Amino acid sequence: MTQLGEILASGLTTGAIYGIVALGYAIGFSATRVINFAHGELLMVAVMVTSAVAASSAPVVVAIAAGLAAAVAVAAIQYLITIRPVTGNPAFGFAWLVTTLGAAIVIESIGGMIWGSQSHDFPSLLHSHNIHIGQVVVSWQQLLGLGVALALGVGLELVRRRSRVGSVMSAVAFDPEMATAVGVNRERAAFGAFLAAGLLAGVAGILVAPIAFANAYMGIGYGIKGFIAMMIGGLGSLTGAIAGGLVLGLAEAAAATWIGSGAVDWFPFVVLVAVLLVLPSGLFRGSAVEAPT
Amino acid sequence: MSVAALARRPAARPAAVLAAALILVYLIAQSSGYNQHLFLLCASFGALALSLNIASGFAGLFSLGHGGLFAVGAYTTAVAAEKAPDVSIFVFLPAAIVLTAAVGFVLGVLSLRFSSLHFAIITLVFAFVLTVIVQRWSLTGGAQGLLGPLAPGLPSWLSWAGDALAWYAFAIVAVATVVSYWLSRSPLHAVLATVRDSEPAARAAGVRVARVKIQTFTLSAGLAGMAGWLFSFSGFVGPGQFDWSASVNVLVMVVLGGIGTTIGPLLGAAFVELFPSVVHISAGWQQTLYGLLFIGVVVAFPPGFVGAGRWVRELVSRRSQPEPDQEISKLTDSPAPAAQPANGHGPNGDAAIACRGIDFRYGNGPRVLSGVDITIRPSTIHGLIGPNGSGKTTLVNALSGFLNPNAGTITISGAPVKGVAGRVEAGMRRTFQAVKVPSKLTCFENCVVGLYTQIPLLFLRAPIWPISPGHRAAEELVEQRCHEALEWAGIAAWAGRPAGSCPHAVQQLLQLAVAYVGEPEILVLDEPIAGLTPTEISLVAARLRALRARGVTILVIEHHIGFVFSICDAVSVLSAGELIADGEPKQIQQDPTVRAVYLGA
Repeated sequence: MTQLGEILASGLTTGAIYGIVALGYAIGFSATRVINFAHGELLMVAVMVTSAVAASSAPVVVAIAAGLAAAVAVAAIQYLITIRPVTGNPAFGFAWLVTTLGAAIVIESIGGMIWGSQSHDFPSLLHSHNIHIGQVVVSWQQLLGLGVALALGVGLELVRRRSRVGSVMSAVAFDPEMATAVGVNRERAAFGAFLAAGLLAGVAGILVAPIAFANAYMGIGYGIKGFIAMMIGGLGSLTGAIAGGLVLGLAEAAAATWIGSGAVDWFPFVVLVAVLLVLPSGLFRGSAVEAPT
Repeated sequence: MSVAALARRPAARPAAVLAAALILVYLIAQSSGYNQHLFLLCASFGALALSLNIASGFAGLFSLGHGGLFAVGAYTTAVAAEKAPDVSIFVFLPAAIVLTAAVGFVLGVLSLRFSSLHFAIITLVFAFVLTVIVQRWSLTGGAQGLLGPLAPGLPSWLSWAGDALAWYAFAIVAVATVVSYWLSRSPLHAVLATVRDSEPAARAAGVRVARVKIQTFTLSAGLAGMAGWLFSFSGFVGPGQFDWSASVNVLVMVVLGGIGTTIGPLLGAAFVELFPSVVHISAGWQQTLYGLLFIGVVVAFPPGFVGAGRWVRELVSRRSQPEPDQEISKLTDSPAPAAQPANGHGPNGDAAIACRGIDFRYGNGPRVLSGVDITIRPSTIHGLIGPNGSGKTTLVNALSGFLNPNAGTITISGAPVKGVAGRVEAGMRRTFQAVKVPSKLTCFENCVVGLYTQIPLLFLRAPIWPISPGHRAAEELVEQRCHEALEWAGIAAWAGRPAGSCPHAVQQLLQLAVAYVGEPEILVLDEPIAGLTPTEISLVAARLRALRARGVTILVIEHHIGFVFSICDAVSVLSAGELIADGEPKQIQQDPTVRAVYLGA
């Protein structure tokens, strides 16, 4: 029982972070049909800027605000340079693949030049009291991540279904041309979605860095895990992103316990391949995969 | 004159190119080990980039897994050389090619039934998974990787040629180049471009799109495996060389050099591989610059190096596309080509097309067609009219196999048919209401796809096109028939123009030419004269009548009622998914129900 409890605790809390990263991908994708491969790097930017500002003995809140602002700012620049010019180019529909991967390389290299390859300190958000549920130990920090992920998942799904912003976003995702025809400013919707995605990447980074580490090369790892989580949940589905993150986190924790710690590296791919083979559009029927392009 | 000549691509001079390449390789084979190593990298990645270009550039399949396929080829060679040190390394070349092609085939089967985005994602996941596997498998040397095999030296009588490795590298990249070049000069090039740019048009011509995509990707994977075989001689084969960024690098090479060309991927590969040894800056700056470079190319100048070269050349020679010297309206006066013998499909009692009780609905939506019965007699022109939204296009899509009706049967010449390809085999061709011709192909090249079913084993022959049996006959067929079809449609003067830059009317007539070129027995036309001028309309009417006289059956959807009543032998009227009238034009004109529907009375 304890073992199962530990798997649940560690799986859900790690999975929550993957879920928030996946949510960022999904929001950007819904508005532009672009998978932003630099998304993980936005997470890195938030973590490293927060760490750097906190190191200059500024209050933690200020440091976090700076980190989130930096992630959003980089997302904005990245959108304007690498996504807006290439979307809707019929001659080369996959131009975004190249440009967003290029952006990932640029952001990572610049981060590497500024912060080096060593890991940095990151301020802890909550005092490191642990809580005990039976014999399972969970930190407040971990619970915070899970809480935020669930709140974001439910909240954004509600926004999408109930609010005007949500219906605009759904319209753009479902039929961009029709949305434009009925007066939606598609570019503004896409830009907004990318800023939100940048913010989500930043939030995920701030939540995970106290538990993990702050390193200029951390982006790619979380970027890939978030991508896998989104694909498990269903490309472009918001609730699916969070669910996919949790499934991925649990699968990793289970694999680490029952197969061996090395399995963390490969087991997620087994889950992903299994999902893609059985349900090509993911657990939550993401809208995009089977749509003709 | 070949297909190639008409495509107006600059004619390369193969002999001169080969001589220059041989001299270059000879010099490299005499020079330092470092130079040879660089050449080996350029050659392996050049071959790899060419293989990716065949999938991405020619057929629009954006693979993010070519680094993984490259790894399959390299690891196959390194593992085999380690386990069987006595066997000649050249035996492993076909093994690497076949194994990698098999992997590509499986990936293609798994993903190409879905969208191209799904394909990109599946191949990316494949690259991830492969890295993880080779990292953990003892056979592949785990995280340390394997030492690559040594390249055997040249026999003593060839010792003057220098080191063997440079020559092997040359041989591999030459094979990849020649395959890519030959394929680009074969009729398959136009077929793949149609699949890439306008899948419905390709299907309507009888191309089994999923199969062709899988074949293309299998060929591409085999070439990637061949490149991997060569790469294993670089000394070391390890997981770090093939992670996802390797796959991206290959795509960057293709885009940077010029996607869809043969020389472009080679230039791109050479640039990317030589960049670090020519530009000496810190690794961080180098990566940054490199990333910025490929954002810059895609955003600002997608045609890449080759495109830049063309642009400069055109600027220098100030040569612009010559305007066709004749307007379409004048062309309509051109005489019709001599009538050919009828296709032997005479009136034989069976209906050309017969459908019984066709029901169709989209998903769970309302019925779009309910219980439609239509009989189209052979060698007639049959009109299908009805108000907007009455289900005309849906019915045509069902007849031509693009939709599967929920209920009912469709027979062609009395026999049941399966799928679009089955109907094409039965002699049916169709056009579409919304014109979407592959815009980069010339009008002439657009017609080539219409002959797809008449060039047997095209896919197998294309990579070796100029040495394949019967290629000359096939080229003559293409040459003669495509010109004839363009002439027939009144747009011969536009043959060499990219279809995308032609006026709407030309594109509309081009669709007719593409349908005509395959010598159809049944022609299904969805609003063929929309947007045409009266002179152009009379040309189309004359051509259709001439076809009917030759025994061809024609079904035409049209809003232009005057046109329909003037050329049709029979007319069916759809309203709200039901057939409300069926008969000779005169009857239909006087039919009270039809009047009610059209006049709202």
